[in-house]
Amino acid sequence: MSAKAHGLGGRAADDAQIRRRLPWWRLLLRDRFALLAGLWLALLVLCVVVGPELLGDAATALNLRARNTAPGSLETGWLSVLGTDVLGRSMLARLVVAARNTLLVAASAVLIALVGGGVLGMIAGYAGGRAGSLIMRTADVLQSFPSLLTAVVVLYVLEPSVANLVLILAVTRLPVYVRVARAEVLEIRERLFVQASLALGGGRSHVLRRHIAPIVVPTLLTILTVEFAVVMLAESSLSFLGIGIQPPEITWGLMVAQGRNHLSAAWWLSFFPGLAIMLAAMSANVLSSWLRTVSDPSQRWRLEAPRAPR
Amino acid sequence: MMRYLGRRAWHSVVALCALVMLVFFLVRLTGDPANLYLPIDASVAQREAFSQRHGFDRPVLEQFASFVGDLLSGDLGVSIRKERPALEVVLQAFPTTLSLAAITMTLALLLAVAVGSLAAYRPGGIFDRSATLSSLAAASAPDFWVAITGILVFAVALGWLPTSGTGGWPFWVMPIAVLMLRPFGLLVQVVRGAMLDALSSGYVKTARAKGVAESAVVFVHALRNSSLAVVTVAGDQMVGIINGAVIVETVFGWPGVGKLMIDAVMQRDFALVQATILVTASAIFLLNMLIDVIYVALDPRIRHQ
Repeated sequence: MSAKAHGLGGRAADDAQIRRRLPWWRLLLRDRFALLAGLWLALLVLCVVVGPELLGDAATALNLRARNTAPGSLETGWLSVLGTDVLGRSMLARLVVAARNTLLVAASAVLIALVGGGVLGMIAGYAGGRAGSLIMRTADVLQSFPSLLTAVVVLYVLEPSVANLVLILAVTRLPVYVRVARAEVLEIRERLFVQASLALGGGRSHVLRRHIAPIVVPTLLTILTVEFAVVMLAESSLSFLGIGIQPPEITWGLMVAQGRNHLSAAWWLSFFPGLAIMLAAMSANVLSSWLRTVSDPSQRWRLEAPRAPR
Repeated sequence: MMRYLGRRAWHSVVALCALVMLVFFLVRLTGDPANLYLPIDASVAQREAFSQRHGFDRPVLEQFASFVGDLLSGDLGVSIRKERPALEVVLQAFPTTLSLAAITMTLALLLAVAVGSLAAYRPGGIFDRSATLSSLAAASAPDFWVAITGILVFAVALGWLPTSGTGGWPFWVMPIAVLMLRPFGLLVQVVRGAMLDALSSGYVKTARAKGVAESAVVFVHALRNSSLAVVTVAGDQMVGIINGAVIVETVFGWPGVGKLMIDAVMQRDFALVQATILVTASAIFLLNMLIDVIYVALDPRIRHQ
């Protein structure tokens, strides 16, 4: 209550000073958690791009004399700072290399779901009728059934390859985008500029592409970051159960599963990959809640206003 | 209202039928169960005898027709692995998962409402910031990893709790705690957001101006109006909890539906896979109907539409 009153008061007083909007990066610098999350994700992207080229050899190099080195020791070089596995391979190097599979699978699944779900949702919202209700019913069924079980069944029918994994992750997340896109379209299509364009002779696909899509897409993009975390966790679960990415490829989820057999002897084998998953998912979640605040005009003042005195 | 519920029920039945068909044909694409159950050097005659005994040699459509016929008379086939009626096996495992899910969800809801409301009461305060951060962490933690780490710390290192299995209450602590994390984390954020909106609304100001006790303002006026958003997310999370149950039951060795399902798929136990999916899906559809009813009870505006 009191903090909110301060915020509102401060907003009125500083309104004159903050006439022009702060650029987004200035806002990011002001929010400590969002900044940390952004930096961490940037570091992960770097790992995805150059990690395997940089540390690929170190991740596969066996060193049987340095088996199961506990983390924190630098005796066998800085690469074993997070410990080594049963074959003496560097934990740190393996984590960096596995980042590519883990993050690329999640990213591609999210993008496919975004495009597919967005298009289907816009069709359902704009065309309606039989096609629309078929799309919505299918989305209902998909959403009301546990995604992990769907994935388990499907991955057993098809081989658990990377492509199939991406596809099933995308399909199970489709309903989210379908619903949001449809709800947006239902509202937008009643607006004046859509009616005007139709009256001027604009075709349906023209209206959909030029007038409706530009408004729907930004909304869908705001779900993207939070969905990224969800999909990454789902992929990890599948890899953990042994039906996701198959060895010799590695992902963080698979590394947790492999380390599980050596739990009492070498706890770090499961611990660090799981921590990596959690930090990445958490960064995505923090960043998405920050993005929501920035993109919401009625909430943006919370970030723009100078810190309220306590 | 009744018409709306009736339409929902009809949609659920259609969806259930579609699901059953889909599963029937998908499962038969996974490979020949004869390869899995008979030794590698089994003779062709042995294989044929096996297929014949379980009806796998007939045309798929014929298998489907007899499957539907049996289904209508309540017969879901016999589990090859357990050599018992599939429905019986599933119904035996069902109460375990159901009680696990119910206890978890109740605890998660109660805790999330308490924490979320307190956080929204003083936005930006110490409690709000730590609650937001820890709820984000809870929602982002991979459940299988938390389960393993929990076993390592509380069972192996400290010896306070059993590593796995079922029994008295100590066996329930870790599975419930692990399963609770995700719904709790998400629900705290939803409760907080909805309560922030509600507490800055006109009717809360009116209530305060009338001199209503502060606790009544928060827990009666604001909370009741926030409950719609919370029920929606809680309903979605109920489905998500089944996902979690698969993991938790696998890690802690619980004889629930989740573990049964994974095992059935891995062992190509067709009848059992179909029975598990059918029972789980029916339960979920019933739950969705229940949520619709709760909706109407909570928000009288829906009733008049």
